[in-house]
Amino acid sequence: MTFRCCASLVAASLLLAGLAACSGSAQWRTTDITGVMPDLAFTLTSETGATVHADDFRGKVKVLFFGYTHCPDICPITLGHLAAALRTMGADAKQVRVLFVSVDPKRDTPALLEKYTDAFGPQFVGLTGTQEQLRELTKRYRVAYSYGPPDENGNYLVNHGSAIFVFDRQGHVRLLMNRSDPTKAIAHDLELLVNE
Amino acid sequence: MPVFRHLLFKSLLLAGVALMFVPAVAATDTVPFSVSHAWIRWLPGNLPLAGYATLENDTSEARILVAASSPAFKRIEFHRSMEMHGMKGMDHMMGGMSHMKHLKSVTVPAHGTFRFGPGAYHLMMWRSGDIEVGDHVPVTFRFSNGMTMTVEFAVRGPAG
Amino acid sequence: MNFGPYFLLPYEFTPTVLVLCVLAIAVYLRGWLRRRRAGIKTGGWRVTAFLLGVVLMYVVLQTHYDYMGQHMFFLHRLQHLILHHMAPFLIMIAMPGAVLVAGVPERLRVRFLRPLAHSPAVRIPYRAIQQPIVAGVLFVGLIYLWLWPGIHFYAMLNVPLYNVMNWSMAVDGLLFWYLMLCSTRPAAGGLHYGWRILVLGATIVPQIVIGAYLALTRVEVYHVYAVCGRLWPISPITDQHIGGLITWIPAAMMTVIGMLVVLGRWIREEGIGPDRARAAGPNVGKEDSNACV
Repeated sequence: MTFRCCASLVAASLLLAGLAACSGSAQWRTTDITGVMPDLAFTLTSETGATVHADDFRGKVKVLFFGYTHCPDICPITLGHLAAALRTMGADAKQVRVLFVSVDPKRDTPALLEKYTDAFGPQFVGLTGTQEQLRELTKRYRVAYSYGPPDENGNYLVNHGSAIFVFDRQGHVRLLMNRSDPTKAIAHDLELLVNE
Repeated sequence: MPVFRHLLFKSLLLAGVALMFVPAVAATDTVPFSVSHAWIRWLPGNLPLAGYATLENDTSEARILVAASSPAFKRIEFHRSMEMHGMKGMDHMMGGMSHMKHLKSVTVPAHGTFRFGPGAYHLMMWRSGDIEVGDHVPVTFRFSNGMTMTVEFAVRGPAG
Repeated sequence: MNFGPYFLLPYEFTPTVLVLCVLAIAVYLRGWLRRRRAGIKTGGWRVTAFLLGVVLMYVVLQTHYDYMGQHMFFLHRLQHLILHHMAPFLIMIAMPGAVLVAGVPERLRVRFLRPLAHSPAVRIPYRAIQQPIVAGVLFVGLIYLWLWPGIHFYAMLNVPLYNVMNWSMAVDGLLFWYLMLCSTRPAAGGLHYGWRILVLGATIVPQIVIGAYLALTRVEVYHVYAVCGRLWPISPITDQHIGGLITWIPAAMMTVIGMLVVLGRWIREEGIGPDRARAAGPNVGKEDSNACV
């Protein structure tokens, strides 16, 4: 019973917050999800093969996106879109890290991820991990991923959510973006977070 | 007013004759089949690349593209990203219930256009050698009627 | 998707669900055994319906089915169909009141549950939400509330809100079907069968409207499944159409079946004749009113 009461209170306040966001008082141009999801937390493998934690990116505005490198179309479009937004931000872009988390650790080695993310810019960081680590992180942000059957050449597809989650300098969840948001809107919102 | 009427008749006749020739003139002016906006998105390492192009068919028959090849690529397939508003994966729904990895062919309708474009249909290309941003790579398209055409694809950076 | 034993483990473990389901089954089985020893028979189909209802609720809430429901709209609709329609319907059509009462230890029942059920803190809000019109509005209103695109979006992203959504559907389902199928007979002062049929009938149209809209629209209403990723690549419109059909047809069917069940009871009890029904009434009624404390 206490659980239900607490949950109802949280729900009610969330709904109110949601309605406030919809009423247009917010300054954001992408979707505000402050408080809707837990703070950023993970243990993954970096581009150098070392273990990294979310805390290692404390002080930066973090953009979290799931994908895999053997995806020549949508993933580079999304990363290119973010790169275009960052280019318009000038010095503020230095305070942003795009965390590209590969959910295909079988093919995406740290070395390949390094080459891949460097092609988009210095703010792009490739991360991956064990299936268990990836499941934990994707569950935390309610993102699904799955693998298609391999074809005769061993190539297979990876299905995954398209969400771009944005966390502030302290690691609190703030915004939900997607590929169809204009670069201007993305840059505007990231600048606001950098200068908070 | 017979003079006026005569003039009117003559000019109408002239206009009619001229109109009869217009389509023929127009048809000879345009290329019946063309490929434009051909480019490849470069990615590092040996990752497969996506190629894009716009195919315009101004003939009265649909053209079916059945294969693409290039000395720079081991294999080129026709793929479609499932756009599902971000959920990605290729289109498994093509041709009813079949689970296709890639499309066997694409059809450019008569007097129509087919576009390989970002986020939708694309050429999935496995490279056989080094390719740099700024290169121009020839790709040969083969159609079901035996027609082939070679197009230069410009290699652009990962962000397009 | 792994369909091994792993599938049966909870995706998001909620002890409350586990405790309530185990408790319901334990109390029911204890009551059933005690009654059997006392020579009172409980129809086999009743036992089956009750147990099936509880197990269904547990499965959609506490296995990896929950994960699937979070990542496919039509599976989410199926989850709500079970929570709000099927499982409570099965539980209440089993008329479990007398068996459950027999299963609760006597002392606990007399000292604690009965005073609680009769206390104004429980009686007043309970009576208020079990007014036939309120119950009907609540039943349909919750379907619309959680399917409201803005609210649905947050409910799928936020864990506490998600839990409130599923709990509210389950609790309302139980209350509604209790009122329709399991509450005190009209002859003993309960809600008239005509009222029950009227309420059930009135809920059909709005359920069809929302189900048919989702089954037929070409507009993608729920973007959250694309954001979070679907279980396998089907188009959002196909997902939404199947979800709409589930909200439309089986849900409306359940309601029609409910109406037929109530109609059947009405005819049967009228057939007994008012005098005999009244004579039999108070006893049955008393037992029933104590039943679902």
